[in-house]
Amino acid sequence: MTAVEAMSTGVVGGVLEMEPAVEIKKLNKWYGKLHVLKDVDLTVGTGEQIVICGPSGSGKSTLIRCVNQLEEHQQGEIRVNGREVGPGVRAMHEIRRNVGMVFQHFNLFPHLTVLRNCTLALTRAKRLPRGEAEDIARHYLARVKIPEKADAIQASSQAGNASAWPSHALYACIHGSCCSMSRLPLSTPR
Amino acid sequence: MTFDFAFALSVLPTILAAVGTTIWVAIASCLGAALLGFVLEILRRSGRLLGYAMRFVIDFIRSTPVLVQIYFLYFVLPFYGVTLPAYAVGVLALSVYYSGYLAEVFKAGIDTISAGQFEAATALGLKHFDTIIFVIAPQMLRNIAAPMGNYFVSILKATPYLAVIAVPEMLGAAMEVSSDTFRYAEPMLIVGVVFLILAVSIAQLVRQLENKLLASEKR
Repeated sequence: MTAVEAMSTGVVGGVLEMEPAVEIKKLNKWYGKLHVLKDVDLTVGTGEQIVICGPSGSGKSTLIRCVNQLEEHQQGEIRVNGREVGPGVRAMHEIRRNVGMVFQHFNLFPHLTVLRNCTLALTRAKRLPRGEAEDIARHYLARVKIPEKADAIQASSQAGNASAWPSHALYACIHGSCCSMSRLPLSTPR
Repeated sequence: MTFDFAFALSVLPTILAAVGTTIWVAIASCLGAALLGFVLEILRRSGRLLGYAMRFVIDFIRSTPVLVQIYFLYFVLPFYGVTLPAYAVGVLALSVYYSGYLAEVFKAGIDTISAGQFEAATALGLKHFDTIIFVIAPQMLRNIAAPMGNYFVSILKATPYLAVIAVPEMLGAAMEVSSDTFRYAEPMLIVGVVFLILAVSIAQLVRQLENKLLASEKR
């Protein structure tokens, strides 16, 4: 996807009807004594794209990681598509299936092909048949213009070179709503 | 005592007839030990209480002699109504004993996988079981092919212990020949050489497997 295309899909923020995809109320989180998130309120509508920016160490990643509970919060409330998430919530994996995430270091599975990286969650978490999952994956690989990379092993590009990020962005588009932690600008095509 | 070549040749078939038992007992024990060791290690990583319990179990297994475990299973289990054939007890004993060591090998293999892999799997909504089977186990195996191969050789070399519970493996067969003829040099030498050949073959196989795994990583 070129930058221009990405821009044109990226300007929709704030103008859609605000059925909240993510709702955060009075979120507080501590690492030991360090108070990293203080009374954070945030509502993200369905289809809305937002940017969270701030200096390093200000808690951007921590906030995002709370949404799919890679980090547990101590106070406040987080809802994803209306379902509360938090420590002790049962079946978190069901909620996580509808939350996409691109990691800062991508965290691709180095032992799997690009295609299998894309289909693993579709087949094992969303329980799609293998064929259907591969069709979806190939569709998106074509869209990010690397269909020929489907059977390549990812390890060599894991360090984060340019060819690695589209396939990872793919993860996110397949998984519905996105939270991108990538440093690459506009790296979450919708 | 001189080495009697004709005698060696005459007892060779008797001893070689037991090689099959040695090999399949070793293979079964390797599989059993790997499977049990992996389960122990995964359980050790789950939950606090279960983790401590498994740590105790693994340390206990590793800290008691294999011969004691073999005798224990062979003579004590029947008291509780569990009577297994000798070879089953043998495979069980070797599996249990080496599972403790393999659990440690697996631990090292899993520790070297970056935390990001667990997080990625979690974020994708994979269940714990799927994460272990599809994400962790394959990467772990690649990390530990060599040390795991070492333990497979050790398991092979531990099969003679099972002679004490009358599993008809190679050493047992050789001992029988020896006690009939009062000649030890030839049967023991044959047993030693066969083990050498088997051990070198396993080492070779493991090396090839490792190269293959490393090659797939570089692709």
